[in-house]
Amino acid sequence: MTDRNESHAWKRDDPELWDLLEVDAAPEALPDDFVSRCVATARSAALRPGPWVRVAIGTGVIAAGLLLWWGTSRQGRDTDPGPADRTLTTPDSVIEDVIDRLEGLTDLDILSLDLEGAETVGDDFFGS
Amino acid sequence: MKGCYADDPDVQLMLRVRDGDELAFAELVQRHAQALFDFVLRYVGDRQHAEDVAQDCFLKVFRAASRYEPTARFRTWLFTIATRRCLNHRRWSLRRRHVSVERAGEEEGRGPLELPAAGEDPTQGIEETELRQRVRAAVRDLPRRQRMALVLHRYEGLSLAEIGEVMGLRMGAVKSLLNRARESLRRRLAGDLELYAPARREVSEVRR
Repeated sequence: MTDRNESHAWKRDDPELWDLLEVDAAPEALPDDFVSRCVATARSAALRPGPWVRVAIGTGVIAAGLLLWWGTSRQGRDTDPGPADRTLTTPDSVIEDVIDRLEGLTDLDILSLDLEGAETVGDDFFGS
Repeated sequence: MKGCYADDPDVQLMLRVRDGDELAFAELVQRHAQALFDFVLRYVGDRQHAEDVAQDCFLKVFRAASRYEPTARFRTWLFTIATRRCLNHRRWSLRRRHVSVERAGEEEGRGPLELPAAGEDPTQGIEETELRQRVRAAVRDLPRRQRMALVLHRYEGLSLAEIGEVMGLRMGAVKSLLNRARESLRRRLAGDLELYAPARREVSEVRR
């Protein structure tokens, strides 16, 4: 049996049901502007990037954002904060070390320091 | 170009679309919009969704134009796209099952009641409308693949081979789907078959 005959087998074998289904065969009317809408949509779609291009652009934007965030977060650790911030970031251990060393100075050491006003300090110290 | 498809005027139009001819695309849409809309509407059941899906099918055709190779009749290719879109639409609508009260009737395949023309028996018009609604509901209640095969065969006039191509099935599987659809419809519409079928047959024979 050829395909053409096969195609009409139902109509031949069961004409009653085939005919009954005819009651709903009339097509629903299309909106008047359907064709023009389809053409307009296609035309505007041709100007827009395709879905894969949009995915690529989106991925690129996200990657750039991540890179920017990563770069910003590294900046604080890798670069000198500058003179203004240096005092704020001097650790306590360094300050304590300086105090210890100053306390450990002998009188002779103090006298030998070439500091502004050292003479006055020495005079007061020895009561002269 | 491959084989006999060169003779298909729609294939010729599609090749012009591939070359950037927008008028050819408009002509293709014009030629197939009604059939495609009708098919999609019978499948999704809702007019607004059917318009969206049909429009999306044509958009896909347009987007695919640059890669188009005529490996089948255009109509077969178009219905293949529509079949996939309908199946996707079903998945989408299952995720967002929301039927508004105003559109509940449409979702169930019931259109608005049509008033009979002057001079016609009003009860006959109502009976015809109700019969149409019952037939439509019975078709809509078929499992989706049976429904698709039935609509393509009975209402869109595709051959079994074409349906097989559209649905990605062997001919035997298509026949099996149609037979099961037929048995199911016979059960659902048994009462109507007894009442209306002989009368309809007489009318159609008189018209011939």
